[in-house]
Amino acid sequence: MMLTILRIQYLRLRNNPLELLLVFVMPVLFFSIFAMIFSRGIAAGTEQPVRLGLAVPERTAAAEALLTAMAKAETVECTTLELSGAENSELSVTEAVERAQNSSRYDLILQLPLNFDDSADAAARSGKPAEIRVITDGQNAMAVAIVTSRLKEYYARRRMEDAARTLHSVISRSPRLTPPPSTAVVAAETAPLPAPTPAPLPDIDLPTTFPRPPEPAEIFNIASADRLLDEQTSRLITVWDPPALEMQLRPDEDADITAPLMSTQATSNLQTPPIAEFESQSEPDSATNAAADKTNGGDDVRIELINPQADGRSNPRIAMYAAGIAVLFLLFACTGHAGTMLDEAESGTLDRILASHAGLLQILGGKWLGIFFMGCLQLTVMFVFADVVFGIELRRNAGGFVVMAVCTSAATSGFALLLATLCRSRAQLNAAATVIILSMSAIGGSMIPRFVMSERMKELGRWSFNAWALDGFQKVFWFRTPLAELRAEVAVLLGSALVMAVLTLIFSGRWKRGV
Amino acid sequence: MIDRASPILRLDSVRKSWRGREALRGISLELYPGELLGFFGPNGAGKTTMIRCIAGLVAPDAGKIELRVPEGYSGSKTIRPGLVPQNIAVYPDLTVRQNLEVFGRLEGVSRKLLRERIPEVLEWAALADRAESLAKTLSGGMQRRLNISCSVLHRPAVLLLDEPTVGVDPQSRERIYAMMQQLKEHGTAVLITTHQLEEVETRCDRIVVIDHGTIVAEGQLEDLIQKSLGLPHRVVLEFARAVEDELPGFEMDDQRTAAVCRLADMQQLPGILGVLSKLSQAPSRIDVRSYGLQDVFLALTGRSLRE
Repeated sequence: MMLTILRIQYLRLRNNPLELLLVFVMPVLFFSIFAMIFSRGIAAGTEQPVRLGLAVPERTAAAEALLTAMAKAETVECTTLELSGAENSELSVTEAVERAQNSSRYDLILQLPLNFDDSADAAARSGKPAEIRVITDGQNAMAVAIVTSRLKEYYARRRMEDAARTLHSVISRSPRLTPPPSTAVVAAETAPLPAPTPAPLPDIDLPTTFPRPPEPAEIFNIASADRLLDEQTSRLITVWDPPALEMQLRPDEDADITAPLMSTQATSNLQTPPIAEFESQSEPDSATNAAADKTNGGDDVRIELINPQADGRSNPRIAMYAAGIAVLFLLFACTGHAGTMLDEAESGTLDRILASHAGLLQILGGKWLGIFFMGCLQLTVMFVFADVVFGIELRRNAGGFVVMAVCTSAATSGFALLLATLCRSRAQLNAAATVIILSMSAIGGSMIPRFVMSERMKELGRWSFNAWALDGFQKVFWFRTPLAELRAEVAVLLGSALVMAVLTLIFSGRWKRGV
Repeated sequence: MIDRASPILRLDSVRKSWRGREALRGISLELYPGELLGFFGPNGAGKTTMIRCIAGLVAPDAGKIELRVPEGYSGSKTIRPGLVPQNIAVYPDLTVRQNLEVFGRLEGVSRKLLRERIPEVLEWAALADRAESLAKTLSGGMQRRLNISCSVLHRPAVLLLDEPTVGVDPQSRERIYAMMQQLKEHGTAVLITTHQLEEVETRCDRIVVIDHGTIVAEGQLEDLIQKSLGLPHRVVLEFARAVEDELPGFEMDDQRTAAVCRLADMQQLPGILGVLSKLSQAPSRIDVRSYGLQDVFLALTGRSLRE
């Protein structure tokens, strides 16, 4: 008997292509989608470089050196932003940064001030450190970690080289330790270091942990100060600044990768190079130390991480989650509602209605309106709840929300009715809806944030409603763009709603034929 | 009371094809006010297609369908017939009253008129005490009655019922035909498709037999029997072995083990059976019966299985 029951199940499965699709094809399809996303998107730090926009109003020597160092990093793809009008204008830089942010073409933007000079002398002259701004929209925490680590490494290395130069200067003043004239200690990263000698180089004899940067006097006992080469410098940096390197490898274990950094704090100077922190804690106790401190510039650079989207908001990303989940369930709810057409057709209720005063156009129009209003209501309930419980500032973004809710519901209603019109039975609709909606949601960003996807996946996602809807909601709740900036999303969603309505009308003739 | 002065519905050489297959091949038919017409045919004969054409759900490829509401008809002057689909075409999650309201509105009945009509219809269908019950909680018979009630709120001049008594108990069936009778009395023309032979035989004023998209017979049962089978009664004698005697009035089969005699009147039966006393062997079985619609149906459409 059990074999007979087993055979029944097998036969039913074999005779139902949709069931086969759900059982065998759907998992493979989903695996492929997620594999594409995870292998080419989320692993952006290894395979996909961070897209860094450079807002450089003036090509000073310090700026060139910094940008050259950034460009050397394989994990960073640098693009200089075009500045409109006069280069030396704060306004043109601000505009360029805003344009770059709105374009979503960059993970981060590095903004240098006018007359950028990161030397200690400049800091001493102006009485404040040079300020480097790292502007993020809070989406890609990995990019923030990579770029700030790179910056910290650059300044740590430069700091080390400055220290070495000071050391060399001290040594050269000492008759016992005068280095040979061929010794070269590089002052800046941009200048090539001398080729390492074949002989193994001794380590600089330093304690493994330093409460503060070693002073030249402390490292007098080095064996061959005249051969302080790059290899040694690297070792010294490792000893000197372990937190910086650690951060490069493990950006932020506690941070939510999808969360905007500094979400509760608009700006921060926590990215100040660690070496500067050491120096600020150190108490120079000798003239030599004081000279070295001055030369190296204790607070000569300040890296400021700015997240304009986080300004004054408690939970901007919750709105994205609300949108993602809402759109996913909206698609399911709308399709389920549209499926009543199939129920009515199967029961003969549709025939009864078609034989009454109501024409097919009125029936479809009524159905569309019902699904549309239900969709608007569903989105409203979701966002009101998110606002009350998680504080997504719905009231502040009410205009944008209404626009996006209406457009999303319109498109979703059209999609649901078209799908119901094309399907022959409720079972067929359920299976087709599951395949299509889950696929659209996976590539469209309802399941995995779009910003972790590769460009190709993002482009692919644009064939789904989810992507356009989520991009729109993101603009509203995250970027707070003006309503006019939503025109692309509005046009696509309403356009597709219109196209699908026309297709529904074309294919709906079968309802009247009863097939 | 059937008013045969002028038909309320007239089909003239109606043709309809689906994907190259002719479902209706020139159907011509007339339906009169107050008439209950039984539409009868095997599966796939074209009954549903014809009803869909009459209901306006599909347009015929050729021919004409005319619906003309007679002057003085007390119900709706609309030319659309009421349609009662074969399935329970109501909303199961609405109450009886809510179903009547929505379908009444869809038929164009005003809210004010509906307030009068719904209690009448509830009484007519014996559903008054279940007006506030959800449709899905009703029994099969009650759901059938509600199914019909939803199509008569606008008092159509023509009511089309597709298998209205499928799956209902005899009591509900009686009630449904009582409802049909009342509609007839108000001058409504009722067209029923059914496979219930007994219903067609006893309830319908006229029978139309359709097969392969064509009307193969039309009229009252007696007419159909006469047209298809000749005389309305028959006597069949069966024998255990071949009969050598002559049986006047009977037709013998080739093996001479069975004999059939058709009668125009049952009063002829004693005379026919009188020959049995002269036979050398007594029949093993005697079957005397009148022809019914099934005989007509099989005679007209054959015994081969259909769709």
